[in-house]
Amino acid sequence: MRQQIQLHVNGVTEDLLIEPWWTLAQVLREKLGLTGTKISCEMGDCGACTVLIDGKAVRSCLFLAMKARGKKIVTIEGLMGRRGVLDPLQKSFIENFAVQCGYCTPGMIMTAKALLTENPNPTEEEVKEALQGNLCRCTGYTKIIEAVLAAAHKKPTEGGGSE
Amino acid sequence: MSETISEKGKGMQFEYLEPMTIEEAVSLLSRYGGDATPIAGGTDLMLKMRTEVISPKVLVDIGSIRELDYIEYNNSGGLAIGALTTIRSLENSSDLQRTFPVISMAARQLGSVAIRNVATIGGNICNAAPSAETAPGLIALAATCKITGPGNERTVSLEDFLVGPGMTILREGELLKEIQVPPLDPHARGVYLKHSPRGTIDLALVGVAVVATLDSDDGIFQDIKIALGAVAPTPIRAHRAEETLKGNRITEALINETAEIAASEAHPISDVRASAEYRAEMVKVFTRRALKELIIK
Amino acid sequence: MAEVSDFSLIGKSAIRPDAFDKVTGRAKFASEEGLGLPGMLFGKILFSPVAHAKILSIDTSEAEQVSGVKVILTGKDAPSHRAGLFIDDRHILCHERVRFIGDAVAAVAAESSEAALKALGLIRVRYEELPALFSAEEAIREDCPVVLHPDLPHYDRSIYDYLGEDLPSRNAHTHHKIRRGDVQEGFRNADLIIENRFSNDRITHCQLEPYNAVAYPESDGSVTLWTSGRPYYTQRPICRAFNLPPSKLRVKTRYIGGMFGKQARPERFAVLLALKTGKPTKLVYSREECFFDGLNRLPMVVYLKDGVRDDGVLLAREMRVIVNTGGYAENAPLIIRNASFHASQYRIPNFKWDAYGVYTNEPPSGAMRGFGSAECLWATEQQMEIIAHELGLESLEVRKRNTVDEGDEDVRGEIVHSVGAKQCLEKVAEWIRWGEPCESSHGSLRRGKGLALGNKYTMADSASSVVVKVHSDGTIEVRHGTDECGQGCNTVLAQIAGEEFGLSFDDVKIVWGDTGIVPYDFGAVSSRSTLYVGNALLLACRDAKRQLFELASERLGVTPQELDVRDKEIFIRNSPEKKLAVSDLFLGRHPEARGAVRPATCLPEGGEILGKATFWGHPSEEDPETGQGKRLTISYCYGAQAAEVEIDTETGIVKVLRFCSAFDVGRAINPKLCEVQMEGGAGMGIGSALYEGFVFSRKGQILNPNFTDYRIPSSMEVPSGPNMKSIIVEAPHSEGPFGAKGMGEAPMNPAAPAIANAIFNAIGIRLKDLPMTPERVLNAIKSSKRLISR
Repeated sequence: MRQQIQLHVNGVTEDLLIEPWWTLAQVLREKLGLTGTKISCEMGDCGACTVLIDGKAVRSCLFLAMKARGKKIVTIEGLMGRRGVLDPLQKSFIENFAVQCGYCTPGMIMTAKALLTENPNPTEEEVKEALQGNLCRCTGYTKIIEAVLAAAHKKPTEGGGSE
Repeated sequence: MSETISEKGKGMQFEYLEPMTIEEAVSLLSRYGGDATPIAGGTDLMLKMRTEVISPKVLVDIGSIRELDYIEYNNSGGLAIGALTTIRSLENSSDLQRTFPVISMAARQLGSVAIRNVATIGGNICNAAPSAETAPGLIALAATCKITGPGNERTVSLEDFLVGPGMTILREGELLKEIQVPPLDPHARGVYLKHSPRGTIDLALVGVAVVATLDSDDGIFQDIKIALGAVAPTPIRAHRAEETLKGNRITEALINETAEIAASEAHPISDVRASAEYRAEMVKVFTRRALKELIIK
Repeated sequence: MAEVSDFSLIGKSAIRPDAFDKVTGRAKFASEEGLGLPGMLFGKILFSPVAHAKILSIDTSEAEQVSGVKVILTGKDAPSHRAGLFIDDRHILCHERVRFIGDAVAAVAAESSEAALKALGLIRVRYEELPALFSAEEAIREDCPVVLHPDLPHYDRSIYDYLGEDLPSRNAHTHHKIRRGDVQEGFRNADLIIENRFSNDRITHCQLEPYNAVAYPESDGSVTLWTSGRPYYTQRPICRAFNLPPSKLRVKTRYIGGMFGKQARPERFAVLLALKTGKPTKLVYSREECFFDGLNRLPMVVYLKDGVRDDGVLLAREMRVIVNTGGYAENAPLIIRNASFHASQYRIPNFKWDAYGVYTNEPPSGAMRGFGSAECLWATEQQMEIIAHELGLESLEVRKRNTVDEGDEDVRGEIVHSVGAKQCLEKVAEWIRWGEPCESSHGSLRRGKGLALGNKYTMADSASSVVVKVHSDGTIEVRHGTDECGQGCNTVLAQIAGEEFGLSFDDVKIVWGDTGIVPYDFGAVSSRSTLYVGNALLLACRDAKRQLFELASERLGVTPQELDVRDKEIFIRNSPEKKLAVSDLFLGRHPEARGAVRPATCLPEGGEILGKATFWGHPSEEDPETGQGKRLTISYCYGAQAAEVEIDTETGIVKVLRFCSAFDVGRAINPKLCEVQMEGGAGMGIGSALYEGFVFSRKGQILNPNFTDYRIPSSMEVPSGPNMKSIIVEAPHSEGPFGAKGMGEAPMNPAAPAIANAIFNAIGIRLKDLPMTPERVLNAIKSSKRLISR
């Protein structure tokens, strides 16, 4: 039976009527039109569905929407913040050619965002380890790692932020 | 001739309940019995439900029971970990890294960061995979499990808690509440090594945990526990290997012999990930490496 | 050739315009199509759980009762004729037989995917199992008792029908031959004969976007189909499968989440269900379905026999290739024919090639990046090392001695042109410090270096067409029919168009992905988009400019030939201050444009400025007996890769520490985009070498159809930073736009043999079967008597 819930997504409180078995990924994409979050393997292996929940990277394809109530959810669409300025990571991905087909990109950026929030100045090895759970088939990762390191070296006042 | 019905079926469908306390959770699980399954982080359970290995009619979400999320020490230095403590918390706890490093070491090697943020130690143990990342280290630490349920609370060893692949000792209505680890000798050291093709993000082909107290003057292991993961229906202790080492002077030959014996105590299967022979060989290799690492420490 | 400094956009690493949408989540893929649309139906397919069986009966009565189910279809409800990409051997839904675990038996459309899934579980199928065949080498035998396609002799072949001649047995559907010179004579003259058997296992694309499709039935009986694949490439097979004329099937896509050669699969079921229900129908494959119904890379067994002189020069090569194409041929015939192009990189005076496609009860396999070349180079680039080793020669030298030069004739009879192969070899050898020993090993670890030469052709038998519209505001719009799947073709085309019109990216719009709007293209295959579409674009730009200059010439008082255009202005080349705005040519600016004529954006005469052009390859015939032809390919991207590996000899784990690619791209229109193709190809190549492979049960079930147990490289498996180097080599191609040629596939091709050669260098063990998993490496170490130690 469908249940009425509220989810806080990208700074907006959304009222939804959902089945309890729907995942956060499904709800974001099909009910909120936030299709930046992608579904790819549905087993938590590829990371394309990664969003931030209370600042932490989470696999939204394995996370029941019911569990997401009361938490602060940020998707790739929310990274630009209200000011509409690209997050340094987004800018860096563009400038460093870290984007090809783009399907892994949102999940990759969200994971990198969680990394840089926790560890603002990571080594290359730390970046590689943090991104290990985000699979990419196009890039071979080199430019993605460069992009994350480049974003880490930017001054904190540049770019937008998430809510 | 064969008649086959597709193995897929209804997909996931269930009634969702969210208790806020342990008592509520136990009450719900008792009421619904075999129709209900508790969910913690869900990273294993969601897969099982999606592939219909488990098809509960009622899902009891215990993830909000905050009182089950803790890492605490008692007066004698023993450890109590709430079942809903996330793997990430275990990984990042500087206290744990200092006092029981084999636990944080194992936590660090479980899946990816996003999984560790959500997965819980209780979930990892109750999922009871033969390759469960946290189990070998805890077994080598002689960990016990506190179980709560409609009846009295009971405590069993982690070894007894894990009964078979995907099977625990829990009865209907019961919940794993806490994992307890007895205090360690101040000279004890521990290591957990995981072997898999891509390291952390892969399921372990073989996991070896060793916790030992080494008398460095005599070069003798006074106490040693070796636990192996992914090479038996449950994670197991390698008792004969331990006996071979305990109280004897450590030599290269003894380490090799111990590793061979540990390999013979494992009974791995051949599956999609590796053959039994390869796994047995890896038990040997990683037992040897774990022991050597402890000696260097 | 003009220098890069002569151009404003060509040769520049322009930032790709689609990156903004992709990093903000705004980029839409076919996956997003129809989400939340009221009335959308969801399709699910019942796939066979047995590898080879007769279908005795299908009972859908219980399944039809599920609330929300609209229709359940089986073979009798689908077109009765067979169709296929090259051989018409397949029904959309199986009729009497299933031929692999994953063959489509029934299709369900329902109001929710939950209802569709529930219905799937209630369909009762009775099968009579037949003996199943999984080995191609068994299936190709004349006395093989199991015959998968008894009607094969009656199947139509729409193109390349000569590949159906001289079949050795009833399960063989394709035989491609090359006969050049006299191999027996060559072997007689040889100082050394080397014979080996190599094999590569099935791998698959693992593109991040799962296969998906949405079909909208239109009121005039036509269908609009959204695909996660290629619009024009998909249109033809669907039309043939349904006997629909192309005008009745409009195929669309947006960005594509990775292609690597994948084919359209759920599209046919979406169309079937949409036509039957009269309702839009969306079908999304699960990741598992992508594995068994995804036309994975062809498993090949290569028997390779070489006769060489004692200085390492190849005199004769004989290759017998047996390809396991699974239950249906799909596009295997073309891959089998084209795999032989891999041999173009060496001078081989005497060459005999027999490649066979064989039916088995494994899932159908087909194209993946490399299109047969990667699979063959796995064999031949290891053989070069073996030859060098046996002769006591240095393998880089041996390769160079054999590598073709500009103007040589290759094994197919083509004259090779634009050959940067030797420079590529030299570059990677230099970077990896070839000849210098590796850091000394410690403990159980051993290091080694290896390299390999590779190539990938672009086919001559294809065509592209492009339309360029000049808008009344002076901006331009490029309409093309190839596919933006991440490789950046839209960026490169915008650079070319921008260069031609002297415009920045902001003033160039690219329109693609809709057969209803854009002109015909063969699609993003065969590494062809830059060359073919680039050329068609250049021609179309010049056609548009000719029209502009004809219109402007009278007003400026000069002939059209004296004019040029830049920044939306047409000017006299020798007196650039004499100019007029492009917009001045349009009706709105006409002196007599009064009243409501003022907003008109058309021309005073002739309607629009539309530049149109076709560029096609003018292929020659191929002699069906000798495989020779003067123009079978249009270009080759040659390249080399070198790897330094570290092997843990106790566990068999191989780590790639450093990796270098050098590829001859003709001219790098966008250098960074070339670089990232090399990095991506390296990653995929490393995956194919060390990590990826299907595991089958004895009954033909894929045991690892997921990303847990089918391991593609993560960030930890691929070198990065200073350990990953990508070098552009340019040997301009006379037919390429600005000298450019395609290079999308080539960076996959030398990787696996380079790594195998590095492993040999490290531990003296040669692995001839892909993938080189830890277990296989360890077993090889244990069974080998010697271990090279440093």
